[in-house]
Amino acid sequence: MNSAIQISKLSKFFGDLHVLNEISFAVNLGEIVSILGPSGSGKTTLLRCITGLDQEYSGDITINQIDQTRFLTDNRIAFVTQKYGNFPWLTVEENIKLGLDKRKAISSGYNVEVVRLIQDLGLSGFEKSYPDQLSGGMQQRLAIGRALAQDTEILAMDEPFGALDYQTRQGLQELIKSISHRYGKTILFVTHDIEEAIFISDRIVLITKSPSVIAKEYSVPPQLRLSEELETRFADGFVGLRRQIEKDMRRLAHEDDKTEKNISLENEI
Amino acid sequence: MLWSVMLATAILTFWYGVTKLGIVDDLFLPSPGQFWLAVKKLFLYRDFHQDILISVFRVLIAWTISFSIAIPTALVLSKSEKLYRILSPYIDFLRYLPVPVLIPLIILFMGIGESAKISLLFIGTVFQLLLLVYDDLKDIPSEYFDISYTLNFSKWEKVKMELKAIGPNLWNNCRITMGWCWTYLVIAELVASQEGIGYMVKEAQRFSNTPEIYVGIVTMGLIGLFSDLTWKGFYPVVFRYKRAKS
Repeated sequence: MNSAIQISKLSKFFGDLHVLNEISFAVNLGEIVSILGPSGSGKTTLLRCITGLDQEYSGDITINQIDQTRFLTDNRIAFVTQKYGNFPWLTVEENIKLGLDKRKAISSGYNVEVVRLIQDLGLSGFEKSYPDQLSGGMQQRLAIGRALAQDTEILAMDEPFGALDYQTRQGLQELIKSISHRYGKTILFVTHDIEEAIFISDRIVLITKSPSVIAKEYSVPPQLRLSEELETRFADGFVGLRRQIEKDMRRLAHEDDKTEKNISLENEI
Repeated sequence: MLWSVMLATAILTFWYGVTKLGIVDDLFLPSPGQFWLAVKKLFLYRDFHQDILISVFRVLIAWTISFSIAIPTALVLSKSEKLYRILSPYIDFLRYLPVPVLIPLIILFMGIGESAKISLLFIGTVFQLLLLVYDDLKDIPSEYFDISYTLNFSKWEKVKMELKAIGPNLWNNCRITMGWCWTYLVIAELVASQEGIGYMVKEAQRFSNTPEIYVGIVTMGLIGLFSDLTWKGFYPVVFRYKRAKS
């Protein structure tokens, strides 16, 4: 299978702080891959390196078989942030159009596309509203809509539902899944929520803390991947995978604690 | 609005009362009648409207120059931490200088013409506005820059985004700095001027013409109030999304 993103031995330092250590993995075309890890594990840093928002790293990243630097001279990876994901001075319609306007060639039926996206995201009737007039969930729908309007092959999302309540999050998780199936996008999704990662993803990359390395990769069973139903969360396969990841994360956290204690003991000695 | 009208009526009644009963000598506080006579005299025989126009002109020109220099400079400084570190002590030094202390030097270099007054007002506002805009630019959420990058914005589009992001604060800072400009105007016109509201007040003081001093003060207050109300009035028109905020 063609890989949309190929990361090889990616390392990143902030001064003396070693954040990412030789991270390597691939994301295939049309795949949803979640980067899962505890807070402070460098998930966002990793995503920023991949999207080009942070270009000071060592290692190689190729996007669509092209070196990232060369790819980013003409292209971009659409990005959805956790907050401030829309420009508040633009209406819903204008925020979506901003994504369309940045395409190299705008296909015919420009306005039809805006209407379709607004409908698909459940924002009909709010075209002339400003982001601050929308609920948190609707604001994130709008941010996703703007990213979709850019029509990039790859979407990057940095804990986009982190600030939302449980119910809203579930609704948006379903939306992400249906978007991926309908629009055939490759999605790189950062989260610390195990359930969210399993529900959304085809594959999960678990990273550890300080410095981050890839601890394990999980493939989500095909029957779970294809389902957009919320009930999937109660399926045996889903629960089993969640327990497995929870167990691995606890073990890794325990190992991290031991390492930190050893380091502080060595420093004291 | 009703309270404002009631307060104005109360002030006028009090003013009329204390002058009518002779509680305050008219050398210190003229009666409303004397005040009105001074207004008529100034506008009908002394071309006071010309003084008002020249004062408004000075403020608008000086403030526009300050604005035109402060915004691009703040944008440049916000992009370079190093440049800001080098220049900020100088900006702070100039910012803390009281404007009147510069008058002798400005007269020495520029004489007593319009350029001297406009320079004084310009110096009084440009550094303040520059730092206010700089601080607002540094407060723009980093996510807006991330979105701009991932939307492949050009440099000009990024600048437009920054100006739109600081727009509401910039509007308020403009309103405030224009107010400061008016306070410096009085200083400029009291010292080296042949026309303007400040000059009229100074001349009235020479002849102990208290009613005209009061007319000058009230005129300045009214112009300031009008300027402030204009800025505030247009705020919800320019920033519709702020008005719409639920």
